[in-house]
Amino acid sequence: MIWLAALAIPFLLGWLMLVRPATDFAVKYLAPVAALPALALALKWGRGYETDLPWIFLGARFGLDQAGEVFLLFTAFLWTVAVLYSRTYMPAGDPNRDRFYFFFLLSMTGNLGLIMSRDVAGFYAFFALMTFAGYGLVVHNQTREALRAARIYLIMAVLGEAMLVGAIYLVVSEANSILLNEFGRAVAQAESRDWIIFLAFAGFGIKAGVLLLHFWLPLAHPEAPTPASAVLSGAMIKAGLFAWLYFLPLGEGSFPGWGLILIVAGLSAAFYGVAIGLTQDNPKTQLAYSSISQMGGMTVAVGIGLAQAEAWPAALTAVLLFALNHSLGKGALFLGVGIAGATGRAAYASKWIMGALGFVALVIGGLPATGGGIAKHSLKQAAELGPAEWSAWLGWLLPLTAVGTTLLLSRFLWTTWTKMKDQSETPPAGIWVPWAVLIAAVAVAIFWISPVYRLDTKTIPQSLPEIVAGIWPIVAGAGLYLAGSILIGSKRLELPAGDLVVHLERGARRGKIFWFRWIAPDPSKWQLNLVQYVDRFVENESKQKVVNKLEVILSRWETAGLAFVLLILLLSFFLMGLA
Amino acid sequence: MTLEFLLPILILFSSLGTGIIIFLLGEEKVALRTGLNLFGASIKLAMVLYMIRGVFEGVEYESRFAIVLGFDFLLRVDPLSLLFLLLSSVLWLVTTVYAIGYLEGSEHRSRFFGFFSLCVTASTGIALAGNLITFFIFYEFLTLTTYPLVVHRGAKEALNAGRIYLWYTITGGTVLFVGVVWLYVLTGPIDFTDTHALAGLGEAYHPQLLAIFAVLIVGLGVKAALVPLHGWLPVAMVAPAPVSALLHAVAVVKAGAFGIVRVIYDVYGNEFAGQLGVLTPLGFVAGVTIIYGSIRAIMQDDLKKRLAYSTVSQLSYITLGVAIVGPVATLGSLVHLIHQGIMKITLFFCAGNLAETLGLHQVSQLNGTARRMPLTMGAFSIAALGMIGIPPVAGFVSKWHLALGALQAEQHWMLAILLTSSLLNAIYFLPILYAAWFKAPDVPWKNRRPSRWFETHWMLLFPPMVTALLSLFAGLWAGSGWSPLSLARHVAEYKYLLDL
Repeated sequence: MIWLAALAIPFLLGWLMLVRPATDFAVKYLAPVAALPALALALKWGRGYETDLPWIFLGARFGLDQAGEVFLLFTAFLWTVAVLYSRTYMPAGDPNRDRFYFFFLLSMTGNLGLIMSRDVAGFYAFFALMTFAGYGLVVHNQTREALRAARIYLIMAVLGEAMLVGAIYLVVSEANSILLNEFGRAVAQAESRDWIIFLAFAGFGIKAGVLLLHFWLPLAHPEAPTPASAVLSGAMIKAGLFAWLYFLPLGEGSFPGWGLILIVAGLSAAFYGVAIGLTQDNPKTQLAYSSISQMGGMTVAVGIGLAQAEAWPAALTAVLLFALNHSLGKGALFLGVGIAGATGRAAYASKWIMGALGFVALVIGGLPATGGGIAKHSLKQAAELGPAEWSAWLGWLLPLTAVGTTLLLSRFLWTTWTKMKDQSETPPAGIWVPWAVLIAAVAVAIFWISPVYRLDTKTIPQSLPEIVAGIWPIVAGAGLYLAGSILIGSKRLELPAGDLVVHLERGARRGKIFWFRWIAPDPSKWQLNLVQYVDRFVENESKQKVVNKLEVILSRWETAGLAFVLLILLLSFFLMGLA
Repeated sequence: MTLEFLLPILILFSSLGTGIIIFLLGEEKVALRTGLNLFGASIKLAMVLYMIRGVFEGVEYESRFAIVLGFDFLLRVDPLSLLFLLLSSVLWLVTTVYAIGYLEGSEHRSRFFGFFSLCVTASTGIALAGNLITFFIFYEFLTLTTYPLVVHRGAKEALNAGRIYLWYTITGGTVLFVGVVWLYVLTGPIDFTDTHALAGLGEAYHPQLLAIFAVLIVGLGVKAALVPLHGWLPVAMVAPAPVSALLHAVAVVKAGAFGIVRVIYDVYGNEFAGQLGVLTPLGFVAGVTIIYGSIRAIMQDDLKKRLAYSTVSQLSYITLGVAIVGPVATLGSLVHLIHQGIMKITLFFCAGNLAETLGLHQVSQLNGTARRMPLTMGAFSIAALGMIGIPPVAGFVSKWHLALGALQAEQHWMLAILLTSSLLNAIYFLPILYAAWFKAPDVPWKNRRPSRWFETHWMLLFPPMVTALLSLFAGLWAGSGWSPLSLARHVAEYKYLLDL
């Protein structure tokens, strides 16, 4: 029941937002604690504890395994920070504040619930709740850009749902169970294994920003209000990754083909995200591309585990550390954009803010002895356990992704700095205090989490070459950025956010024109009304004429008489035959 | 005269008697008629609930009368009848409330409610029928009693729709009759319980049995709106909203679908039908219907027409499910019988509210409607999400079992049909939700509010809210003992004689 309570609190609070008189109180005092019960579950009370509730849905089971504990921890924490931040960020004067909180709290419920669910039906229900409530966050501003971003978000989400629900059906029928823990083994032996892996990878990959399925992400994440961007890019994006941990046959066999596909997809996303991100002018869009790039790194880790069963425990550790670090770090960067926006460059605080953002950027870039460095190191270890022929080139390519990350985040820092206002305004405490707490968490969380959640990692580099190996990509990335900005200056290639999406939209427009011109010019086309055919036959004049003429001929007395005689003859013929 | 004998007749009479008395009452006796309607509907629901308890405890309810030619008029209660009875009695109650609110102050209400009750009697009879001939009698009775409801408004369009409706259904009924007689010639009178009668006939009869199956399905397929026999359904949506709601949820289309379920499980027997090889073509027809209906729905701008084509599509899930041999698909099919009913009736109620309160009929007029009528559009949204198959609304539970059943029977193409259909459903439902909730209204709404407290008359507002909550809870608590899923599981266990 504690699981239900932890989920019911944000869920019911969300619905309370529709009751006008109660919302001010709820926003101020109730919403900020909405994710705390879930956080408590992740910290202590939910660990190693499962509950079956067979009467709910298709038989619900709640609980946490190791991955669930870590995911729930950073997810609940980030949501708590974000909701505290919104308290000031979304002032009472905003006419759509209550609607924002409604979708915010429901997305939160979905995001927390999908991690707590141990059965696939519950998992999927919460996943869908998060996805569809997330739509409300993306569309919130209702500007033209927001509407476009939200539309593309929704189309991709629905496509994703169709694929992942296909994967779910296939897995459940193979595993003969709805429990997530039993999926991996079943998929490994399944006849339809390739289909399941494909559908799960692509279906959940939409959420995780896999390359070629990513284009909605740089549109949607930045369009949402800042606290929503933070959870979209920090927490919700991880739901796809979380699902892979169960739907892919990780640790249950070695599938080098699929492993290679994931690794290549991950590395491509890592570099592609950086490349496109560099061309962007909006700091939030740059961060969204950085998320695509970082999720690429996590995809590589999953790919290694898929390719080689023995490498999976190490790869899982890498995934968890990576996810934790990126979640908190990316959340801090997004919230930082909002804080920088409320700060004047002339204010003393602006230096502090830029310093803090720089620190977080370094952590994500993989500075040794910070979360990023530890995560990178564990990924390297996993890569060494992977197929031997790959570890050599992975050993080269992975540091290069770190170079890219630093490069992109350097550009992000510079853009943020230049976009600050020329005043001495300082940010209100209501937004910088939660942010400061989050940054503190970025700094220390990983040291604290490793022993508590049984993650086997080395936290401090022990030799000079290790330190150098950790630092050179950062130096190289920052150096490249400096060199690039001096050489290229302000001449830059500017690509539209969402890159490929422009072409897809053009295709969709053509499809729409084709649909209205050829397939459905008006609603009655292709109508099948059988009575119409009868009517047409009956009302057809030439046919009526034939019938009328026939009637005239038949009613002449000659015809009638002839027919009568013939009938008599026929009858007597039969009678004679009988006799 | 034991209770086991009387109860099926009483249940039938609860609506038949109501109808007859209403005809005898004058047009102006509004209070009495309303009271009678609600009393009849409530007492029927109570009797059905009592009977469910009885059947679970092993009581067998059966009323049999001999009629001509060795045929029996047989009312018999098995778990499958209960499923349909429960649906029809619950929805009769809510639709009665809705109809009273909807028709308040309009003409010919006595005629309307009289035929309304008779129509419910017919669907009750279909649920209770214990053999094909009894089924056929009520099936035809249904055709005749729904016609006055379809043409109720009396306008030219309504009369034309009624004509088309009669053409289709009478022809369908005739074809069905041919099938029933042919089967009688072959086997003599058989009840739905004599499932092995046909399987025991021997190889030589198989071609004939194939032909009879085709004839029966064509006859039933008219009401079940299988493509290409569905043409009447989108036309008949000119009927008043409560009629459309009942037509699309329980009365007419469900009678066809229920008939197909009966023919496959209780006349031919699921496994024998599989051996005959008739199920794959039937599944194929259902698949085509599902996709065709969805595509046609996307093309419609008239809200009720869009919903009507959606019915064409959604209803065939039931047929698709019975075309798969295996308990899980059966479960999905049976539970969808209920789930589709409660979700679709919600959608039609809401469409009626929009038309009645704001005068809106087109999908393209729905911008911003949720601001004016949040509860109606909330109910609409729940039902629409359920239709798409978003958990935890009831539609997901149906699709879940259908999909798993299809995979169990190794019919992977059906999974593709189901997923495609979900996508198409999203294409024709999500834009409505988007327009209603996120777009600004095109024109200011009329200020006249029919009710001081609610967004519309409470009798129009509560029924869709109740059915929307039912669709939500049917999914959310599917695992509990009182859900439609549990009842359907009971039926499937009964059919397959196993524990699910």
